[in-house]
Amino acid sequence: MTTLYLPFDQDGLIELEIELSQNDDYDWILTAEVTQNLVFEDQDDPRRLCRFVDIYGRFSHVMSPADDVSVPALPAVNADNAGCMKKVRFIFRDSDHGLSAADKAQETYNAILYDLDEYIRAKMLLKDENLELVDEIYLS
Amino acid sequence: MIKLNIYKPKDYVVGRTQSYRVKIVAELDDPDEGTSSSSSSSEEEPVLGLCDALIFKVQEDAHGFTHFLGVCQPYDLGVLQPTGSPRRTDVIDCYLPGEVLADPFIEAVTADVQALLNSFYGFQGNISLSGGTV
Repeated sequence: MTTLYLPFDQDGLIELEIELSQNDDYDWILTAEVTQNLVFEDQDDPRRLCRFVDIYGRFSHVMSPADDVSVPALPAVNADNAGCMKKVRFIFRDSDHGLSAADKAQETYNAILYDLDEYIRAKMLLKDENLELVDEIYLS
Repeated sequence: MIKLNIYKPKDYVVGRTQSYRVKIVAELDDPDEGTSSSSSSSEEEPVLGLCDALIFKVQEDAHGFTHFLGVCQPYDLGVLQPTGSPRRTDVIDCYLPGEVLADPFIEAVTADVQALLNSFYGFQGNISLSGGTV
């Protein structure tokens, strides 16, 4: 298990435990779990560590800032049947077509890191202090 | 009479997160204008217009998340309270799936607020019901 610190250019806002390994059947196993999230507004909310969205029982995507205000922690789900979970585990197996299991596992590994990094940057850009008044509309 | 203050992020980078924040704050531009009449007549005239800027309808779901339901209808203004769920509020603070939807969203909200205001003042004229059969 490796501990990574995000975002890439400055450490420590999100800590991620991630591991990519191969089992006896030559399947590639990828596990990931967020253990620290200092970007989330409410540090007492356990959802800050639930960074993976599940829809209809299947992993869908890494939590986005929009998901932070609409997706509950599993087993609760919202109207879109989306809930968030703390830990994900993927199994990749070689097939006759497409990428190899190793490549798919590595791509998923990279995508999780990329999306968590982007989540941090998006949260920073969308903070209250980074909003600006762009228009005033008068109606009568 | 109503002023809508539109807030958007200063900087935004399009990415896979597909989250764009828009905040709209409504306020009465001239609170006195809508709440009272300066007429010296002793007859009590109906109060037209808005008494406050709580013109947006929101609702909390079972998980405590607040969802924007739309601009209030005239009926909502008389029925919904500033507390509870659904309730009236003067702030829309929402995430849209992308920057490209922000302007259409703001235009739609603006049009609905204008329609709300029109619905108040559309009945100011005299209505004659004389003659005819319903």
